[in-house]
Amino acid sequence: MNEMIKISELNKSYQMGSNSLHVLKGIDLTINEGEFVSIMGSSGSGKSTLLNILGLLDEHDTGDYRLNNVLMKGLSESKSAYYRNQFIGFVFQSFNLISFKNAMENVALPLYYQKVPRKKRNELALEYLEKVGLKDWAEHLPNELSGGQKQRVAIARALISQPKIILADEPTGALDSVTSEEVMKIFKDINQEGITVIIVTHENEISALTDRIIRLRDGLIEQPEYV
Amino acid sequence: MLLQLQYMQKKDLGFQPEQVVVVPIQTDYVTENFHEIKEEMLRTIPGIVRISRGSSIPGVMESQQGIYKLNGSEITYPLWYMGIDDDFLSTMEIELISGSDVNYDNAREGAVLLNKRAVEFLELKNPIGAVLNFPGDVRKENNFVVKGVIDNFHTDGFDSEIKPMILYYDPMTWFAVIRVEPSEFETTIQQIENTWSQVEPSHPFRFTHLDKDFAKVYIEEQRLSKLFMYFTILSICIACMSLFGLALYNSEMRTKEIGIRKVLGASSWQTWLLLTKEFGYLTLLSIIISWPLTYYAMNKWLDTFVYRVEIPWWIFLTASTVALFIALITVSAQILRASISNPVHSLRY
Repeated sequence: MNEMIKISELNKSYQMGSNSLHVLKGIDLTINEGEFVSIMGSSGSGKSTLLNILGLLDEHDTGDYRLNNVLMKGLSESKSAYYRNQFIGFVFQSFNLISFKNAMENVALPLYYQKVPRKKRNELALEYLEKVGLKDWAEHLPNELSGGQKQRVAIARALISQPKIILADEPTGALDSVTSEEVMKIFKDINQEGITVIIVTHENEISALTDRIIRLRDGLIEQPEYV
Repeated sequence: MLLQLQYMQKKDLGFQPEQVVVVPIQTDYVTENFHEIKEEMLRTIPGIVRISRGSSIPGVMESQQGIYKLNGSEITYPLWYMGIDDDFLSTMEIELISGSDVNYDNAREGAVLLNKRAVEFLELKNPIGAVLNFPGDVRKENNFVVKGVIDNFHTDGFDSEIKPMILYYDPMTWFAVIRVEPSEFETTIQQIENTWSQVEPSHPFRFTHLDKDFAKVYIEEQRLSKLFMYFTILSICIACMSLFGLALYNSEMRTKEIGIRKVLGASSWQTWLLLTKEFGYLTLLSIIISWPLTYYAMNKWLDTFVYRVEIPWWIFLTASTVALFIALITVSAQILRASISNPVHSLRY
């Protein structure tokens, strides 16, 4: 099976005044294509830092990070933006929808940066909204949607550029349990289509719905655990 | 405004005021012995090119208006008159277009000069030889005979038309005009002062530069132009501060949006362009609104001048480009700061 993510001896430190905070301490991790993985850890364990590095939102200090067999090192800002747009779909706890754009426009946004014409990207956005059951809400602004609907719009937005990976940071953190289950069902369906899904969560119920749990403690990965 | 000012400063006045000094004649002695004094000065002061005198000098003393009849007709014409001495035209570098200059010899025949404007005003097809006289004065010896036509020259500001003028020979006028070699200006002035102190010992020597005297006719415009420039700079500064504030507020308000866009694949350049474009459109809109208003206001102001520039189209283009450039420079730094920030930080908002 193709290795979608391969990390070896990855280190990341932050300069805090005169002190250096070593957050990721030489971790090794491989995630294969089509895996459904959750990353768990307590606050300060380094899971958000890891997610940022995986999502090319932050750079690691040392070690190797290969995404779809491409070495991610010394990328320019625009190259990182390109890889994010091509390979990765993001889902956030706080949805991060643009408030003055309707659901369809929010979903279509990643295609704008792929220079897809407006008509085509709106058509595709409607298709993806239909996938998450929100076609009828296409013209609605985010503030007219419930939390669950917002997250489904965010998922549709993450999917529209047909990424290799979905990175979800606490995607159910702001949702009630029923809606959380619905959202996780969508992630499961996405995963079954062959997309690698990586979820950062601190909820055991959520991680239990994934195929593999990666536990981070003090910047190191504990023994992986298959569900 | 600057264009109009430049136009006024560079416009051909019909005479050359540079390197000419005007010395007021303050005693009867000099008035009566001017020709001898003039000959002496020309002989002893090598820096003097020419000397003459006149009753009125552009920018120094206004000419007077009189009523004249033409060729015995009953119709009267108001003309502005000016007394001049020998060599006035050559000293002032006023062009004699046709006929001959007035001088001591032909003055007894009543020789006068008309400017082109007067020829047009009197509707003379053959001006040389035309006879003018004062209404009610039928004495033949008081007739004025046109001997020559000179080019138009400005006597007043550019807000009034060139006047129809009649110039006659008058050896008793009160303003000496002296054209001086530019290379020896200071020395020559000193020498003129020495001579003048001898012929007018009871009066302090006074002189003015004709070009500076004439510049007084547009001093108001110069002041206005300066005032406008200061206010323009002030308004640009205030506008830039407001624009900077707006850019700061806008980028703060849109920090999260910038972060979202970057996560979704926008580069810093694209986010910079997105925000800058919005300010660019706003600036363009304000520029377009300002065009007709500026054109109207400037045209109104220029209409106060008889001799004026037309507002060129490129001035709008240049001013707009500069305004756009200043606006973009003002907002760019702030927007750039927001654009290059790490989306991870932006999304925490």
